[in-house]
Amino acid sequence: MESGEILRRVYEARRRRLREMWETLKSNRAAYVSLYVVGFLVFIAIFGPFLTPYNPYDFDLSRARQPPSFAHPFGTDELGRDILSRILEGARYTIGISIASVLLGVVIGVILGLASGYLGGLWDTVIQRIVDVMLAFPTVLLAIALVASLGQGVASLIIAIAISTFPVYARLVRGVVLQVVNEDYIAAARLLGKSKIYIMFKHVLPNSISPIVVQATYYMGLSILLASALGFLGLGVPPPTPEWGAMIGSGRTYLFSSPHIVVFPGVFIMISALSFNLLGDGLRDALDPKARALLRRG
Amino acid sequence: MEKVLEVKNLRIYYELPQGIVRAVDGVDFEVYKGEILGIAGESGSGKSTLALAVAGLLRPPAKVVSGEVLFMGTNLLSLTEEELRRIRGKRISMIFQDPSTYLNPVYTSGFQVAEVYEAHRGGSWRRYVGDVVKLFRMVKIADPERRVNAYPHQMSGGMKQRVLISMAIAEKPELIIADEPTSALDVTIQAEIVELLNEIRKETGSAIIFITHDLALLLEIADRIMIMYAGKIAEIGRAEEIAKDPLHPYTKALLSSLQYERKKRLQAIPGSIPSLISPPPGCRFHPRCPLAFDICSKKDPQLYRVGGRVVSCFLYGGDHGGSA
Repeated sequence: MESGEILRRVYEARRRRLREMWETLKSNRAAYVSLYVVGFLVFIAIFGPFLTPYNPYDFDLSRARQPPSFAHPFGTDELGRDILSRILEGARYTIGISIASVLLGVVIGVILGLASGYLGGLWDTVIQRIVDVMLAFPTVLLAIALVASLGQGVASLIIAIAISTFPVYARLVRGVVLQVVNEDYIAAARLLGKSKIYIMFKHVLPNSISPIVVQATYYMGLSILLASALGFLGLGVPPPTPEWGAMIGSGRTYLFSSPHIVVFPGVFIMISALSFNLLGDGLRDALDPKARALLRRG
Repeated sequence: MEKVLEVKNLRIYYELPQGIVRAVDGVDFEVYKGEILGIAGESGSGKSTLALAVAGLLRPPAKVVSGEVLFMGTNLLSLTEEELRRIRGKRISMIFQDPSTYLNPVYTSGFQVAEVYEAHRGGSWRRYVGDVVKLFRMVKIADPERRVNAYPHQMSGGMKQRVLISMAIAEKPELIIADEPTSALDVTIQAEIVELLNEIRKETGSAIIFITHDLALLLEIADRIMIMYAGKIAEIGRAEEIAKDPLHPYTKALLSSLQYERKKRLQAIPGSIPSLISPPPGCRFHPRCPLAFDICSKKDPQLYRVGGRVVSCFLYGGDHGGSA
């Protein structure tokens, strides 16, 4: 058989693998539903502002704190702004900030964790001491300090959350890497004459990925909460931007008289955090060929 | 004959909190082009440590205390990591005991073999798929076009060992180190793998160091056999000579433990391998040796030449007045 034909088969096998991954993800009901929920959230994060029935910034005190009705499905807030419109408008801030900050945090954390666990020695000592210091700060306090020094805004919020969460990934990755490095196939890769950097990214990283995926999706929810907490303290996205956490913060005074002001953004935060977690769980199984085979057989 | 490998006075110690383990303690031997050198010894005799040292894979707490490992005239112990990397996998390769742990579970077997070419010839692994299928055919993997796409967990132990062997021979290395390559496999598969290694040796002209505790197996396939005991060489000789006329009392004891007769007790060697932290003085085998005499517990025997063979025993040399 000639090389072109064999290569065609390799690609065919790869397509089959992608299909298998998809099937595995689909077989996990919760993850499959979450995929659509996440898709929907991303959709409103992108197109939300074009779908708002009212201007999310227009206030009208005569319509303040109205309960849900046909005109305002989620009711109005303390300034008479339509909550549905504000949620649609605010999705891009909340979802965008959490995705961007988690991605940034994971990239920094994974690179430092890999270097620390795989290269060892001085790298390990320096990186881990930095991580120690950063973990010693309470996350929220660190984020406050960072936002205060970077100035308010979406970009500095993302950077602040990423910097205050990356030590967790760095520590996690280091631990997993220390285990993976002792696996025989890493010794075999060294023996076959592959370079250190190549082995680090091509052999160590893929085998350390599943706890990272789980941790990252868990932190999606957490970073939404962190962004909200900063918003609550007046350090998040500046008002009147309808970031979901800030909406809860400003509506908290009316928690007992008009709970819908807090409940609807809260429900959206909860749904986002939950669906990211469940999706991460499904992804981890789908990405692991061994788990894939097991699940398909079972 | 051309020397592929020459090990001179190699000492490897493990520096542990409990003391220094003299795992390999002054070992000299050569490997010639195209031959199979069998290394046999009990567990803890230092054979695997020796293999790792030759492959340049020793990790702390193992430490080379003295000696040279000359591969085609270059001392491997003096090379930098980058220079070693270029030799490993291309000119020296290794086959391991447990094939199931030496393949990366997240990649297909074909990709992992293609990586060997990628590492030494450059370019994308895609260029080498055809070569991988050829290799798979050479190591007798059935249906190689399909198997290149199989993950390790989809293969049997014997098949995984074949994949690892194909990796080891991909670049037609001058030296292949096989560390107990058949110990984790079924007996029938064992025979096939041994046969395969023998064929490969003939086809590629690679020298093979075959390490095992199975002396019976070595007597069949090895050209020369080196017997190790407690970090030292007991005896080196041609396989036929060792089988017919073992010199060292330890070799004799090993051989008689192989001879199995019905209704007769297994001939075990009394005692057990000594601690390598505080080995017995003199010859390390003397506490278990039926032929030991007074000098054995006082002086360490050198390697004495007897015909074309080497043996480390005072029965064959030394200054106690015996014949040299």
